[in-house]
Amino acid sequence: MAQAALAREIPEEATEVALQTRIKAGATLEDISEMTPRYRDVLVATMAIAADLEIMTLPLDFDAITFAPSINDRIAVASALQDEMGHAQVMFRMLEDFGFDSYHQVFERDPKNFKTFFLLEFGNLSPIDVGLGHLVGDQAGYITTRDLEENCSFGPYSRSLRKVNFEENFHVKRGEYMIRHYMQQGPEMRKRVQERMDFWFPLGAEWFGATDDVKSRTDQLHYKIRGSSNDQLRQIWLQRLVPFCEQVGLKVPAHFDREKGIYVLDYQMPILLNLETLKWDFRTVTWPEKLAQWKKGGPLKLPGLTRMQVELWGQDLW
Amino acid sequence: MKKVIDRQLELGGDKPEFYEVFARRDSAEPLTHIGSVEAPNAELAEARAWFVYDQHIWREMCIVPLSAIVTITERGSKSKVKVV
Repeated sequence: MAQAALAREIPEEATEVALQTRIKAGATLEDISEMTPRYRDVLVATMAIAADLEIMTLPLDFDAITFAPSINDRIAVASALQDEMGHAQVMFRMLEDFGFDSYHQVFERDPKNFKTFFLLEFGNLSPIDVGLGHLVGDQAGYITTRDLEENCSFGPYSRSLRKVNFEENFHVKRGEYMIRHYMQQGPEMRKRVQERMDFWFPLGAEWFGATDDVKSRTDQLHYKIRGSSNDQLRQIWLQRLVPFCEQVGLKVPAHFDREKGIYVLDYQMPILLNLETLKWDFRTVTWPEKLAQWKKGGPLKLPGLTRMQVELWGQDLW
Repeated sequence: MKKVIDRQLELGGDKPEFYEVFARRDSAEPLTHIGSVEAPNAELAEARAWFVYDQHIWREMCIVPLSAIVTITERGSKSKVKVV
């Protein structure tokens, strides 16, 4: 009783300071009751976006099942999608503890309100896209969730990502395997892969969001929900992707800067994608213009999510 | 047409029922909490646990209904066993 009375008298400011001190010292939170409202909001937003991204991969890669070039490919795609569905299950299960209704979130929410990324909002045209999606997209996703697993100050979330990252790594490996395979199929095929890579690469670079100099919301780093900034994560992505591309003979607009000792893009972010031609315009624009394009979304977002919500289970799926 | 999912059949009604999942890969490993699933009954929970937590070939896997767990350090807290 005395303790409860005492707890009420502690002003919000003080609990906030106490929480931040604990986190700075490397402590993890294990229960919702340990959180301040601000911490909770930042954490829930992070988890909710991660869950939405897993869901968005389902309509994105649905076509990949139907046009898989072999039965092995079909099995691999189906199994990757099963993984993603499992990741969504784990994440929505965690969100239930924070008062979310998973059924509502997945099946009843307006597709407009799903927080998905631009990279996931363009349909695949061919198996080449599926490989590049794994190589570029799953790589970016893996780097993001890997950072959360290593650094997130909410222990249960960090640990739940073990399974997620274990499997996400397979998707990246499969992407590398596919692209290496296609790049050995002669000049015509190499040209086709290069053309699609020109489309995918800037999408992947954008995955990590605005550059650090303009990013205003740093609460995620402040609360150690994430460990690395947007630019740091982008750098890891470049370190993994660019050498691979150089090795298989794909040209990408990025190179290793010997003076700075880091990988740099050959263009200045942000740039816009022409939604009619689906070609990138490498002239730098302002961030508000880029944000407007992200907000508008790609052609697959609304139809894809709507289809997921209304499609009836049954034979037609196969 | 809206996708029809029978909430009673799939989720056991509007009040969620959770099962905690424990597993180990071999007899040398300790039985470890690996996550949790929502299901209306133990049979479906079994199937879902097997389906979701398939990152390893488990030697032993078992589930415990959350309602059966008595909390000691977190008395009164909503979440009992944490997703690992």
